[in-house]
Formats: sequence, C-alpha cells, structure tokens
Amino acid sequence: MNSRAKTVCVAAALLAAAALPLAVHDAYLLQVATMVLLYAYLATSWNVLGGFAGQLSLGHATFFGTGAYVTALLEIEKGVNPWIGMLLGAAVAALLSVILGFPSFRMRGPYYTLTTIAFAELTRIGVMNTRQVLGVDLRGARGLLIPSLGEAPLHFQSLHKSFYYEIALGLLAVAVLLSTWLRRRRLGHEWAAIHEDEQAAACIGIDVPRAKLMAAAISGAMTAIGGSLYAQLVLYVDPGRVFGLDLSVEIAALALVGGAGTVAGPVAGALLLRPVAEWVQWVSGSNFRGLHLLIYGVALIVVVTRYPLGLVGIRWTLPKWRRPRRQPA
Amino acid sequence: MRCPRILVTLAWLLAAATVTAAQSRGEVKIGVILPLSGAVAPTGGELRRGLDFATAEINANGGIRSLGGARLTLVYGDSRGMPETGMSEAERLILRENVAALMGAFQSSVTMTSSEVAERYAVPYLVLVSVAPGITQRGFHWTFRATEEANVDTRVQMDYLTWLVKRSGLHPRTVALVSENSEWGETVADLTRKFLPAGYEVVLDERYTPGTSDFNAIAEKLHRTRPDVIFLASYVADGILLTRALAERHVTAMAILTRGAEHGDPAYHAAVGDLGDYQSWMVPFHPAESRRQPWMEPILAEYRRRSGAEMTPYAATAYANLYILSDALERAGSMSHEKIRAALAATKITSGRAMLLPYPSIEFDEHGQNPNTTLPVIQTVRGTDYIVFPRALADISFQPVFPLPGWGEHPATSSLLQPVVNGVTTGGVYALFALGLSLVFGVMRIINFAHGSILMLGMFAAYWMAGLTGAAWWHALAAGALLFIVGYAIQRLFLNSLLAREPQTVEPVSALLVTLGLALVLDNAALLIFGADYVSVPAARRTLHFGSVLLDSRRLAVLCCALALTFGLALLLKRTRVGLAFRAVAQDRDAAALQGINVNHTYALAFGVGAATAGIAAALIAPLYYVHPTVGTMFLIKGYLVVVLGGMASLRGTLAAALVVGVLEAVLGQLVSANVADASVFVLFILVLLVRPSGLAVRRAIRA
Repeated sequence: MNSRAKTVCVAAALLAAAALPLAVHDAYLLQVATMVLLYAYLATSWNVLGGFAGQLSLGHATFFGTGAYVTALLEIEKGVNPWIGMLLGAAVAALLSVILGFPSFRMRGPYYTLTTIAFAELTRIGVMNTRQVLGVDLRGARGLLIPSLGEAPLHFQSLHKSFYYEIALGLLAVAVLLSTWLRRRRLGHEWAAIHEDEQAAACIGIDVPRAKLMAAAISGAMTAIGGSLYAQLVLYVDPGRVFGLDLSVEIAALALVGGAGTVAGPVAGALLLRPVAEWVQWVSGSNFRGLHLLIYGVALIVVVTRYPLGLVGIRWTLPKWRRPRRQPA
Repeated sequence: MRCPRILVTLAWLLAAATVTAAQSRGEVKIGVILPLSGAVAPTGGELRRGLDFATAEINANGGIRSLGGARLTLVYGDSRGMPETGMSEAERLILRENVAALMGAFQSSVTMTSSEVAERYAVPYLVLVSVAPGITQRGFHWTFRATEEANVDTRVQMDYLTWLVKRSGLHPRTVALVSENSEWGETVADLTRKFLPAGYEVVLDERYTPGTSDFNAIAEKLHRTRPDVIFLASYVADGILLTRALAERHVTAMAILTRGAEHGDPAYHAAVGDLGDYQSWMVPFHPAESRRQPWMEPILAEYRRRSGAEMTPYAATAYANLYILSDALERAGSMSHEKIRAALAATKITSGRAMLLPYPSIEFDEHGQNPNTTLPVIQTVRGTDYIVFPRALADISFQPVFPLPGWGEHPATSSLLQPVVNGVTTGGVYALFALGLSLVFGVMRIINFAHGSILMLGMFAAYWMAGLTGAAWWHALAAGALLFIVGYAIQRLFLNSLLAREPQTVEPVSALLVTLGLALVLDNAALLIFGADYVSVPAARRTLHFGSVLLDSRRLAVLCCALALTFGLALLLKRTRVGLAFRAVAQDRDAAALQGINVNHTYALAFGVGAATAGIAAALIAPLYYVHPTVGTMFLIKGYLVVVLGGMASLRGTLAAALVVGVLEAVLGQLVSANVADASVFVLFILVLLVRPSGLAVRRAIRA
C-alpha cells in the first residue's frame, strides 16, 4: 500500500472512531473505549523512548503520576484551570525525565531498565509518605480528590463520556502524528542509530546523551498528559496506582506486544490486548481472577519468542503447512 | 496493510456496543462493586458470600412483596481494587444492567469514584464497609452508609481505653501508633492522634508501606520506647508479619488496640495462632454477639451449614446491608431510583435481620450517614473471642485482660547491637533470594524477572508438603529439586532460542521481557489455582539469647543457609565439571561449544540451579512470611538492587551487598522510620550510579 492510500486509510479509521459516540450512547462502553485509547496513547508515548530510542523503561508511571498530580494539585490548591495544568504537568514531567535521565542513561540495556524501576519506586514511596511539600498539601497516601464540577468542558470535566473519549482519541491521533513526524526527522534517525548500536552511533558523530534525553523528555511529557486526562476522568488520584509498577509494566507490555519501535505497533497492541482483557473480564465475571494479566503474560512470551517485531511485524500469510496444498508441485 | 486491522478492531467495538442485556420482569437487579481480584480479593469474596446468602434467604421468603414477589438478583462488578475500574464497573452496572441500586466497594478509594458515578446518574448507592469519613461528607444526595465511619471506630476505641484505665487504677502515659500508610491507615492514624484523650504522649508514630517485608525494626522500636498503649492498623498480610515480629521481640504493653482488619480475616488466626492473643480489636460484627442475642443463632447456623465456615464480620455486614436495601425496596414498592432513594432516606430499622449490625437503630441523617453506629471491641484470650466493649454488647462473665500479661516483666534489654543483628538476619533472607538471580545473570546475562514467581511456587510447594507431613528440613531439598526441573524446562522452552539469537556480549532485553511475561503468567495462574487467601507454613521457633541480643532460631537458620549456599555454589563453580562448564559458557559460549560443551544444556542447568536456590530459599523463609501468589514481588525488586550493588555476577558480592542492605534498612528503620529505610535502598542504588559514572563495574563472567 502506498503512503497516500495509507494516509487515507488512517484518516478514515480516525473519522470512524471519532463518530463512534454518535452510534454508541452507552457510557460504559465509551468509558472502556476511552481507557483503551488512553492506553494506546500511553503505549505510543512510551514507544518514543522505549521503541524508537530503544531504552526499555519500566518506570513510566513516574511521568504518568506526575501529570496526574501536577494537574490535580494546581486545580485543588491554586485553582489553576486543568487544561493549563495539563501543559504544566507535561513541562514538569519533561524536566523530571531529563533530571532522572542524567544518571540513568549511564546505564545500558537491562541496567537502565532496573534503574527506571528504582526511580519509579522511589517516587512512589516518596509521594505516598509526603504530607506536605513546600506548603503544598500532598495528602500522602490518601491521594487527591478532585471536586466534581458537573458539565464544565472549559475545566476539563464533563458529564458525557464522549467528551473524554474524543480527547483520548485526539491525544492518540496527535501522538501518532508526532511519532511519525519525529521518526522522519534527524532526531528519529539518531534514535534509530542509537537503538541499533549505541557506540557506532557515537562514532558517526551523534550526540548520544542529547538524543536520549530528548527522547526521555518528549516521552515523559506525553505520558504526563495521559496522566492529566486520567485524573480528570476518574476525579481521584491514588498514588499507589498512578505511580505503581503495575502501570509501568502494562504500558510497556502493550507497546512491546504490538511492536515497539514502529508507529502502529503500540496502537495495535493496546487496541487488541486491552479489549480482549476487558472482554475476558466481562465474560468470566470474577471467577477467573487476574485472567487479563495472564493473557498479557502469554502474549508477551509468544511475541518475544516467536515474533520479535511484535504483532505488526507478523506477516499475515497462511501458515506454511497449508501452502503445498495450494501450490501443486 | 495496517489500517484494516485498526478498522476491524473498531468494528469489533461497534459490534460489542449493539449487544444489550436482556431485562426480565419480576426481578430487582442490584449492582455490587467489590474487589474480587487483586490483593484484597479474599475480603471481596467474604462480602460476596454474605450478600449471596442474604439474597437466597430473601428470595426463598417470597422476594420483595410490594413488587409482586420480585426476586433479587445481584450483578457483580469487579473493581480489582482500582478506582478507575470501580468507576467503569459502576457505569456498566447502571447503564447496561439497569440496576435499581448499587452497593460497594470496600476500599474507600473505589467507593469514592463509584459513588460519584451513582450520584451523576442519580442511582441510590449503599456503602459497604468503607470507613473514610469523606465519603458521606461530599454533599451527595444518593450515597448512604449504614455502617460506621472511621471517626466512630476511633471514638469507641478511646472510650474503651478510658474505661479500661478507670477500672484498673493504672496510669498509662505513653502511646505508640503503627499503621500502614495507604488511605485507610493514614486516616486511622490521624484520627487516633486527634481523639487521643488529654494526658497521653505519642512517643512513636510509625507508618509503614504495605507489603513491607521486614517488621523487625518497628518491633525493635516498640521494644525500646516501651509505650503503655499501642495502636495498630494493618491489613491481614502485614498484620501477620507485624504480629510475629512483636512476639519475637516480646513487645507488650498495658493494651494493644487494633482496628481489626487483620483479626477479622480467618487467615490471620490460622497464620499467627495464639500470638495475636490479648490484642483488642474491633469489627462491625462478631459471631460472639449471638451469646447475648439468641435470635442470631439460627442465621449463623444456616450460614455455617451452607458455606461450611463461620460468618465473618464482612459477610455479616454485607448480609445486613442487603436487608437494609430490601427493606427500602419493600417500602418503595417501585423500581424507580427516586422512590428507592426516598425510601432509603426514610429508613428506620430497629428489628429484623439487619440488626446483625450492633446498632440501636439504622437510619440515615441528611448526609446519608447512619448516626447511631458503634462496633464491638473484642479481646482474644487463648483462642476464644470475647466481646468486651461497648458494655451493652459485652460478655458480662468475661473481664478484659488489662494490663496485658508480661507487661513490665521484660526488662528493657535493648542492646545497641540488636538492630545490626536483625539487619544481618534480614540480609540473609535477601542473600538467599538473590544468589539465584546472580548466578543466572552471571552465566547467561539474563535479568530474571520470574525469580520472585519461582520463589512463590517454592513456597506453595513447601506449604503443600507441610500440610502432608508436617514441617521437615528435607522440604527445602524437595522444593529445590522440584524447582530445578521447572527452571531447566523454562530455560529450554523459552530462553535458549532467544539467547541463540543475540550476540553473546549483550544482556538480552528479550530474555528480560520473557521472564516478565512468565512472572505475569505464573503469578496469575497461581491466583487462579491457589486462590487469593493468605496461608502460612508452621515451623518450630525458639528465641536464642546472646547476652542481651535476641535471635530467632529460624532466622539464624536462614542466615546459615545463605552462607552455606554461597560457598556451596562457589565450590560448584570452582571444583566441578558443571561449574567449569558454567564459567566456560559465561566467558565465551562459542569457544565453549567448540570444546564440546553442550551450551543449551549448560544454560538450562544454570537456570535450573538458580531456580533450585529459590526453592531452598522458599522452604526456609515460608514460615517467616506468608504464602500468597503475589509474595514474590516483595522480594524481586530488592533482590535486584542487591545483585546490582554486589557487582551483578559475583556471588560473594551478592552476599555482602545483601547483608549491607539488610543492616542499612534495620539501622535506618531504628533511627528514622520504616519508610526512610524502604527508600534508602533505592537511594543507595542511585548514589552508586552517580558515583560510578561508567555504570557499575560489571564482570564479564561469573565469579564465586
């Protein structure tokens, strides 16, 4: 398929997705669809650092939590409009990811991964045990309750699920466009080179630390925006959840299963796995506890061992054992 | 061709949207949001049992009469303990199941978000168990809570304490608070401070992170500060470890008052035996109430007959709440949300089965809160629970024990060495766990995220064997042998093909991901198979005295085994052909292959040996902790920090780092707080990163 057809195809899919709330009025389905889109967005954000630049982070909850907290705190404490809070949250997260990036990018491969976990856990423990910082009431482990304002789209709140759904869809669209654009820029090529071979990349004159920090800052800021959306959607920020290791792992797993390093991979991973998980949860009721995580685990194992390029890398052809029948010798 | 797949997914979503739930006549649907999976799933299960029991009873007695005998149908939504899932489940129940009312959701955080949804859609919401005062202080019109909020718990506890003190003529002065630091524990600790009568001084206020593996530092602090009264707030898993740590350190006080979230769970008593005796705890309902309320007896007997277990506090609370709701439905005579709400608001129950809740009456004030709540305080003495307070509910024949036995007997034997000794033994646990990680990394450069889950399997194996034959030393060997086979198979089936793909100089990220996937699979499969109940392995225990330093015999055994295993593995590496093969493939697998070494077999052996050490570790530390599908995560992250600090591929380095981390945690826990100790390991890890800019000097090959 040529690139024009591809563009048309994606645009059509996007339009169809945007029109979904016209057909579906069921708020439960919209909420589930919103969470699916949010995860697709988060996986896409993670992918900038974890996929393009090849730095496998298992600590992205740090940035998600930062976005959620900054937005919620600014609104509760200072009455800052959450739309602005969202941007400030993204800025804080970008700054934080650069600060954390300095020490952690000294580590490579799995060491880097362990470092991201260490930072994320440290942040979680820190936030859960801090009541007040610089006069701001952080409320420790109790989390932040955002007052419900009813129908207030100007304050990033609405009684209609379609509002959040469209925002999540918009964020995802922007993230996909940004990813596509970044990949074609010089920076994207630098990341690809670093991903392939860091030393070789340095040898041909790529400023490796700068390129990695850029990836971390962009990825962190994007993830934080997802955190802000989550906070406004749920209206309650639970530090154990938004800074938790489970969240980091889930984001990374979705992207990796779909195909890290490609634009479509993380989206495909989230759009396939999340609904399956929700569906399993719904069908099995509560009789099979944790079945969705089991499915993630199996998907991760199968993809990594059999299809290292992820779901989007699989050649969707007939299995080999059936071919001889179709092609007479 | 990528876009069609996206389209297919969207079409799938659309198709799912058209599926609508059928609604039959003659039934009243009630939506219930509970944590049916996740860490507190056992409690969710208890609440569900109580609700199902009440539903069966009501339906058998003719359903809701004013609705023509309509049957009650409960539709459950699983919150998984997550606020956002609770929210979407509330939406599903309201919009797709068209429930007449909602109940939920145990955790206050989930109740907050799900009741907000109910408020938005104007659906009555009856709170189950959540105690956060904020729930009924948000000005909500549709939220009702018949049970107590944390304020009431605290007030009852303080009244009890005041009553005890007045009776005894003693004069307690000092108070210690130990609480878990999630939303509930924090609320409880703050309220305890707020309601503490004048004249008391808080000498210790410790708030620990749930899932903390080591309570020795807290026990040691309590031992040193010797408070007259100790207030505890823990959920069951932490409560088990905390109670054991207190017993090991002989911590007593005039009174130990807990919130009962641990005592209320049958798993707690199974795990700690008589160690929790004399603590005073509180639950919304206790079967002992039937001693004074004979009418309860048939209900309890019927419940016992049906479910094969005693009615627990949570089951009883859920049971009573369903009767409150059915009473409102009866009076509403309609399925309209507005009418049900009005009926709920006008509730005034003073008799009937809802009175399993020990309140003078059940009604709701303008906030939807029942103002008449109280709850029984219970003291367990030699395995029997006695209600001691409020006096209207209490067993008159029983006099509460105050001060506790042993109080004032144990002299303050606080050697300065004690925290160090505690730290060294805890370090032994970390070492025992981390050795296998280090070996696997050293030979294959695999970061093994499944090691915690393998440990968990070993602990279940030990639990199972202990059930069959009683505790025995050879269980460690049996668990080790079993997990050797598991480890060998994992390497052969999943990992060898990955390693073959990668250049040997690289630490394969793909292997890290596969082991992560394995961890998810193993943990959740264990949850499916073994269930989410906390179980424990019994073991004989003795406290050894070295001068003023106390040492638990089992911890000493763990430490000795860690040392023995380190040197055993070192010998294996240095002196045996297998060890030679390990070192050879670690240095250069291609060269090793040329020498006739079967690389795949050797890798599998190494992973098997790593898993076997986890098996030995599991059998040894299972009696010190609890056995649960998620127990591995408690050790995994810390194990890795230890391995990294120890230089990744060095067994001796791992041992040393484990001991250092153990001591650091214990000493900081002593000097500052449990949380600082928790965070300190991560800080140490990051400091090492900063000090050694090139990253840790990683050896290329395994060393003893």
